[in-house]
Amino acid sequence: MRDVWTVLKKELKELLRLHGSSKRTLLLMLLPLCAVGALFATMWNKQLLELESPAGAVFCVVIPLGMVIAVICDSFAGERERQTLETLLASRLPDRAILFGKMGAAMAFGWILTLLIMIFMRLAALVAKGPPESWGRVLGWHGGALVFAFPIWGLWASLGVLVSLRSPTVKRAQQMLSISFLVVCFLPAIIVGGSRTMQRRLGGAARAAEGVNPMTVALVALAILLLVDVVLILIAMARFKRSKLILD
Amino acid sequence: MSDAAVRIEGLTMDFGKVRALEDLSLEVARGSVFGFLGPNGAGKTTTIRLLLGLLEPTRGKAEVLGFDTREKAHEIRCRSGALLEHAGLYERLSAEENLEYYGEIHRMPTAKRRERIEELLTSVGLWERRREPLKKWSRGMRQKVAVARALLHRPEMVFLDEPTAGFDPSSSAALRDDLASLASREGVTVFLCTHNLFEAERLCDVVGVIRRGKLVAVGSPDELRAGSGDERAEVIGQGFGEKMLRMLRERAEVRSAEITNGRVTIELEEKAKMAPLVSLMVQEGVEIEEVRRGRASLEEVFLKLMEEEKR
Repeated sequence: MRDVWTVLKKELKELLRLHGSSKRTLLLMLLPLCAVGALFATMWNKQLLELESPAGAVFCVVIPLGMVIAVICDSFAGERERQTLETLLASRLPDRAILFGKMGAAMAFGWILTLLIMIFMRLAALVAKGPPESWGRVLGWHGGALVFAFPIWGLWASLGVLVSLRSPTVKRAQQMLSISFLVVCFLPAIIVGGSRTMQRRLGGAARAAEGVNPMTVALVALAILLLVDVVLILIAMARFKRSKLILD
Repeated sequence: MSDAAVRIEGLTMDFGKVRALEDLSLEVARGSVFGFLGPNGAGKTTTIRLLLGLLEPTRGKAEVLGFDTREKAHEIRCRSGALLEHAGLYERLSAEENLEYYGEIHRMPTAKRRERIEELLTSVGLWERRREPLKKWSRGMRQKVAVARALLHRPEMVFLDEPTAGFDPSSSAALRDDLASLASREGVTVFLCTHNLFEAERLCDVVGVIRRGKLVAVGSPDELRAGSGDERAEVIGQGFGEKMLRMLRERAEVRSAEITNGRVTIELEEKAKMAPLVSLMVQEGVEIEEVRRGRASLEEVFLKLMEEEKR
């Protein structure tokens, strides 16, 4: 665990120096988030998006995805490109510490961005509409969304590390991961949209779910997400071979 | 405990159809400085990677500090420091942060880590600049930090691949002194890959010469020079001429004689005496100022070995 923390800390430190000094990097990261808040206020006013809705939750995860993809792809491909990977592999760090440290850093970064976006959006909502009717409901929603954000960022982190492990350059890893993102997001929609049988089955499932407690649905979704995360992490562990990483 | 820090037996490494190392067998004594010499692509870096357990050999076995490289690579990496082909430093971070990271990796206690970082950076003259990001630094300065990183946790074994690349002459000399004292004072074994034959001659207790994956010679620099059989003399003076040169060449103990840069260089047969040749030159009217006698340099031995292999 201590080794994972060592790697994670260094990854985040390096991330904070992405644009030179830490202050400059933070400023450049926070500016787009402020813009997201302003955009959200406009959408709220036009009744296009509500924060406490599934679409609002998706918004909070999709918006920082580009930034997180850049970070995840940098994990192994970046080390390879900057010729630091071999020295790291020649150190006493165990394979799992390197892998989980890098994944953890990407997850933490994604989660912090989601949290910041939520804060900016809430501030924008306060400015646009005033205080909410029930703060309890709002906090519950935010808490739930942040819990869900963990396995979602876990999924992207493990997927990103898998891609980054074998990519010679960061750019190649980013291209691969962007394509994966499009496949993950749009392929199910295309399959469902193109098949009447699938639409009927999905409609039936949705009607059946109407009677189910929303908490049960959320827990099932969470369990599925965690299962996918575990599978991806196991694949990444199996693919982490020092000899291959050096020769790739 | 075994006396050998590195023991290699019949190590062979193939990359597809390319054989990078062939039947390499070698022993490096604990506390010694071993120089691994060879041209680019000879197999030096592959050997270091195998010794650190970063690659699995096709055949043969190797032990470092008594640990098998296949089974106990983690133990080897815990006890070793390495400066590989590239400096491997994080350029967005400062020298201090880079060393802090590797100190934490090696689980050095905070106080000891900071003390050691100060000691190492001061010794290479970079302590005042420790907080600057490395991307602004020259190659030589980064290389000094990389050497410091390899020595940070006081390893028992240090692998250095061209450590003085990019160093100025005074820094090279300082590093040579540091490595020599590390080996003699702290008993650290140094496995040094270098192209710098002067460095190898000054620093190494034993050198191994590798070419196309095969070890072609091993021994102390003196043994290699003696083994080459090349004895030579250089005569400095005035009045050298073609007639004198012809007479020298006719002597049985002389292999060759040349005039270069106003000096006569004579290659001698083994155990040949120089005195009769000096009298011959004096008789021919040469005014001799100095006569230097010695063996071939390590560089000459190395070049000769490379030539022999080509043939």
